[in-house]
Amino acid sequence: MRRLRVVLWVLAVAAVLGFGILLLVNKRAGQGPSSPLAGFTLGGPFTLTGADGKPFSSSSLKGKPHAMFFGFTHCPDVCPTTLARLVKLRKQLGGAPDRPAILFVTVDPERDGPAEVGKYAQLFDSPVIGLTGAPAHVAKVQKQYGIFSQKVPDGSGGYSVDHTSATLLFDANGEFAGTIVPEESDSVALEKMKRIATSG
Amino acid sequence: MLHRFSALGLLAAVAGCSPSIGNPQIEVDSAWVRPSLAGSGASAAYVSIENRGSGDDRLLSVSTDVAGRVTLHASTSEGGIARMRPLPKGLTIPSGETVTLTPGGNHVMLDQVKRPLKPGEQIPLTLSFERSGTRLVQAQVSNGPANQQSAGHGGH
Repeated sequence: MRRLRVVLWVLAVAAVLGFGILLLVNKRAGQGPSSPLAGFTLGGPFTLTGADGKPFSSSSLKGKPHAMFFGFTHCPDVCPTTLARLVKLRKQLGGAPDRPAILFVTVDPERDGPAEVGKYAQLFDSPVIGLTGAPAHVAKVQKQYGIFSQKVPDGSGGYSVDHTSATLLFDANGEFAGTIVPEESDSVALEKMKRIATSG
Repeated sequence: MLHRFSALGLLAAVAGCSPSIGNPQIEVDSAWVRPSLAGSGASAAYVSIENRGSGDDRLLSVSTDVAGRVTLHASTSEGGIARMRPLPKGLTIPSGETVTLTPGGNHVMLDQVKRPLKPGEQIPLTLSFERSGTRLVQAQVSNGPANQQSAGHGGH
């Protein structure tokens, strides 16, 4: 009987300690129960070059939900298909409180200067922010955002670029809020856009 | 043995299912081209090719005077990675079938675009087939297939 009491006391102390540690860890990680991705970080601050040739800082996106797609202007099919779809979905949001900004970041800065990304971004009859930068800067941002790219010879002296096909979504607080992939239906993609548009 | 093979060949010819026997009958429809600004990378063209004939055919190449280089490509998106590869052997158009080039799949890549391609404009495309010769079509410049545009983006 005495032995059982000791065991119970030990268990109680362990439970209190454990709970305390859990609270501490949670507080340190800054986790809240609000988002399923809370505590998971992707992205972060960056400075690239806008279509006007001037620096574009991620701080200008503060408080604004945004959809970020990495591609290249010599991409005739997948990239314009993705950007045209994002523009279409944003139009479908109608009067949502905060319609997401759409960013196009080149993974081919050697060929895509500010003028090239700027012209490309203009093709969709709706504002798209075209971004480029020094190859080292772009590579750093790709790493930050988990974006793969690889040049592949096209057999006739030029090259194509294999790249991550997902669009990354960020809410008004700048928190990563998931992806839209080409395989998803428009209705699923629209729900995701709605979610970030009403996150503010 | 030889007899058996020729008998099979004859049977195939009668049934119309041999690629080298029977005549393809090619019709090209629903052509559209993505808008482009001169010097802004690349554009893509999409067409629908129907073969109403009894023999297979093959789309070998496409040409247009608005682009310096025109190539047939396939896009894929597998494992989260978008890739684009040339189709050096062209595209088979089986008898009795319609092959439609669509965004995210097979497409005609227009590179070195010489002048701006503005929405609503018509761009001539010449398609060369292995057996049917050439077909000239007018492709409408737009951000999506022509039928989808007129249907007001019907959606899913």
